Amino acid sequence: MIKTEKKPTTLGIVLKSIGVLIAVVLFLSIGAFIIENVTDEYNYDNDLGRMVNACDGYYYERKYGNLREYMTLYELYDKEFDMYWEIVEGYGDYIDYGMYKSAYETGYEEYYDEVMEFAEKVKDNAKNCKFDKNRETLQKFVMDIEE
Amino acid sequence: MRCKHCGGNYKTRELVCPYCETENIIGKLWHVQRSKAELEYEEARKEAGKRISIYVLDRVLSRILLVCVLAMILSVVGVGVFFAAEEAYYYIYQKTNAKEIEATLKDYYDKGEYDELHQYMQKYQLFDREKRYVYSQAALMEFNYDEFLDGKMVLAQLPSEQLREKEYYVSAVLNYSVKVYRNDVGVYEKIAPENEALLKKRQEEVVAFWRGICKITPQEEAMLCGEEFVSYEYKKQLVKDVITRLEASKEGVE
Repeated sequence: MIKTEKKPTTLGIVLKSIGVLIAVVLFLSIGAFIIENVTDEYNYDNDLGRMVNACDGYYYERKYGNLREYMTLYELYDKEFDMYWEIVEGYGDYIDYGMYKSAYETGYEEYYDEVMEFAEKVKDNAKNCKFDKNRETLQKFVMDIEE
Repeated sequence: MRCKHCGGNYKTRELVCPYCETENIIGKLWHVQRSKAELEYEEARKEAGKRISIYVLDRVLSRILLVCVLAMILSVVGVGVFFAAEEAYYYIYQKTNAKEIEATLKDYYDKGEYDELHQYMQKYQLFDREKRYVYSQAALMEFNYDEFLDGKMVLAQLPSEQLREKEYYVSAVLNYSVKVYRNDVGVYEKIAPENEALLKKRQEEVVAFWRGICKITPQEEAMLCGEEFVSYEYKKQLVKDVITRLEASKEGVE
């Protein structure tokens, strides 16, 4: 018996084309998602240069808050990032000093000890600075609190 | 066939006898029918040519659809297998390294390295309400605290003219400060006695942030510290007020 092929209709072709379009888009999306996740997970070393560059960007713009945000988001705790952590922590102490001082000056006298504690921390950070690139900024923080 | 005139033998298709040139009626008829058949064939071929493109298109579309559906099924199965294998790996890791895991958790906790504790617990999926409530709570408290610290530092570096434009930073840091204060860590909300000192220390820092940087009033502080639900409208207004105060204090410094 001869097998006859049913003649495709225009509506069938249109529906099939829509189906193909959806399937291709879905397939590409799933593919892109998988590739992105796998590369994110396993290509950390390749991204290291890019991440150091991003940190450098924030560092030179003195956006230490964004720098901290970026490093915590991507969990950058390796020794390559020690220099950035030093300035971020130094800046954190400087901010805390300002915060307690401001609260103290507003009339909350109970913060006197914290003001002294963080003033000491800011000075210690400058004194015990391990990275020359950070020294000037940490010194500026000291000068600022001594004004 | 044999010629009726001369008796010569020749092919039926011939138009005339090759020996005596007598007309061959059967051959002429054959040629007429052949020409007609060729014309019909040509017409049919042209008609089929018009239809063939729709068949080819249909077949190509069917193949693409089949390949895409199969590839999607394979991808979904692949991802499922990958995650199942990952789960199995963590399960086996937890079972085979139970002592080492507990020692590492204790070490991070005792040293106050809550950030590392959070990362380690997240990496090996160690959160557990029954067995590791204290560690899980400390790790989740750290997550909120870390977000609060990020927000606090970003807020401090923003110049006064950008505060309104980047209102979401103020909103986010206020939200996280409330989360830290109220210990909003989902199912681990009930404070463990071991984490009480840590929570108290962080609450004090949050209050200092509210007073020193946000300049919030005692009434606002009471609202944020209390257990009452802080409505969206209240928070929105508070963010606007805080921005106004921050602008004033930053402009004073600048």
